[in-house]
Amino acid sequence: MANVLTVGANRIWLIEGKAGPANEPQYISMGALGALDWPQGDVTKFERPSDLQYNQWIEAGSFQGSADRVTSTLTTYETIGRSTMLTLIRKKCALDLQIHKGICTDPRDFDGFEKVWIVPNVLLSSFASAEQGALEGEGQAASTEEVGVSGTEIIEVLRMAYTEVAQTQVGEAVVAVDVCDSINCGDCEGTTQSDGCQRVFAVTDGSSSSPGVLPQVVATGNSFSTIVESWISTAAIGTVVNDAGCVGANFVVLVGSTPAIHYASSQDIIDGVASWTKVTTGLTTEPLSIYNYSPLNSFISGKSGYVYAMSNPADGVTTLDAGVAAGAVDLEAINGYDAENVAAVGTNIAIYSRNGLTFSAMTTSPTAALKTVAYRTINEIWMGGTGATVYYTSDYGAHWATKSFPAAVTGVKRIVWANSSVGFILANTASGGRVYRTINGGYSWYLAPENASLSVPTNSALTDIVICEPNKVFIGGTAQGGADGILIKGTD
Amino acid sequence: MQNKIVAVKEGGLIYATLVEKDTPPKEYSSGIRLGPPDTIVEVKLTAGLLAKLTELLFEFKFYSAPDFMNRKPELFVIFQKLGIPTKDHKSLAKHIISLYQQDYFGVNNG
Repeated sequence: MANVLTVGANRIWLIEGKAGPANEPQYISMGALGALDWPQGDVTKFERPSDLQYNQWIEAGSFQGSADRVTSTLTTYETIGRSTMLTLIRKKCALDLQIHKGICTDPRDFDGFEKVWIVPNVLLSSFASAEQGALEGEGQAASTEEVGVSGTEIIEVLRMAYTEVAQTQVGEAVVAVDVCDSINCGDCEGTTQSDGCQRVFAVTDGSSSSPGVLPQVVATGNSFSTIVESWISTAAIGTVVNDAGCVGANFVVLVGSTPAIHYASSQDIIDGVASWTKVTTGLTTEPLSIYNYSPLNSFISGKSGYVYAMSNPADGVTTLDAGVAAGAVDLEAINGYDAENVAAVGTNIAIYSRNGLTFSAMTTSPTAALKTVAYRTINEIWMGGTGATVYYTSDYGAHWATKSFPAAVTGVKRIVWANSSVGFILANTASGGRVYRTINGGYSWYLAPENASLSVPTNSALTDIVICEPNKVFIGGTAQGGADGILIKGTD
Repeated sequence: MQNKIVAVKEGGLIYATLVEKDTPPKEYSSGIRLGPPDTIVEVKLTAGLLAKLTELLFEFKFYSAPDFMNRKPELFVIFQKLGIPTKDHKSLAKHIISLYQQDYFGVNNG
């Protein structure tokens, strides 16, 4: 039987300035949050005359208005010192509230949560105090302060467990993973209901043995209830796969050896009838990493500092930067916030664009062999590579800050963000890959999984991770021993 | 003209061979060999197990490379029948698939 929570199982954390790597969460020990109200939009029906009876009408359809903000009231005890709430009210700056829920853990341990509701981007809409005096003794009461809160949404964060999937089908190192899916109600012809995490694609490298095999895609249309394999028949046996991703209706794979892009319809892959196409149009150097924003908007970074744009895989790529911004240094990873804000990294180099067209080197770049880059917000870019340090900047490299991981970490392979609060890092050590998670925008990172009695499946390295929602990820890597691959599903 | 796939034994191994439907058995060896490739002898099995492997590959209709896609579980059943330890199934499957792919697609494919 499920554990029913009581209101006493909630504790409030406040992050002034919103979740972020420099913003320490503050435990509100003498406070309580009122009920959360989150209107989802009034539902309005429209009618038409009944076909069966005069003077009767039937519902012809309905529509729902837009969701409103989350509102509540935060009540705290007033102390003799500075009023936190009054100070925040006067600052008029957005903050985050987190409601940590637990039964058996220490409420003061931020990362020791059992469940969290995050209300991000909160503005304080009102301030009210308790009575400011009592004429008679019976009017004595604790003095309280009450602020109205208004936030963007409620994000639920849960403990996760990690299990290996597709063990039979995966035979080589998994190089890239992506989710080609979105939430679907299944109302339209040809669509099926989906939570957005059903159609998962992983690509395995063909080069991990000699002479090797064809690279292949291991895919599922139902979150690994059934699994299909699709050999990339247009590629060379033993070819190196660098990256892959969903681009519109297609799944696109970037390969080295003979630099090319290979793509097939993601639906055809799932249906077992994939027909692969190889494209080299526009490619001057080996493509290394792909960032896809929309079906017509992809960016690819490559060797010698090249950055390419791709609007349709069939048409190949066009060069946005022929290695000028990066000084001809290989760009190992590219990522973006939207179609304009894009960044790419390589050894001792980070470049960026703010218009999706032209790239410049950051003012300074971390001295490291950078392997991953990710935007936490439109202004804050994270990157990592060899070593146990990750770097972030909010002014395109004019200033850098760092977060350090345990000395056992030999390299950071991937940083990904579900939203501005929740992120994951894949880090590798001599004994295998690890998953780190943050739920406060990178201020603190903890080793996953949350439940110490569980563990991430044994592996020799983790290579790629995709988030489809804050509590569901898919991870690819190399199995223990190095000759096999591993595909992991992390979920609540 | 309709075709059929028949088993042709050569050198102790079974080869899936494509022949015309009305081809008499004594002429099967003149058909088009589908698989396994000659390089199957590189698989590290005893002569007896290798022969049995080719029999089972034919029986399970693993004729050429495309027949292996999406069918690893069946390949593992063959390995179980041969008494090959489970821990060796994936590496053996990879080796066999590699040989069939090289033969079908060519080493310089792509």
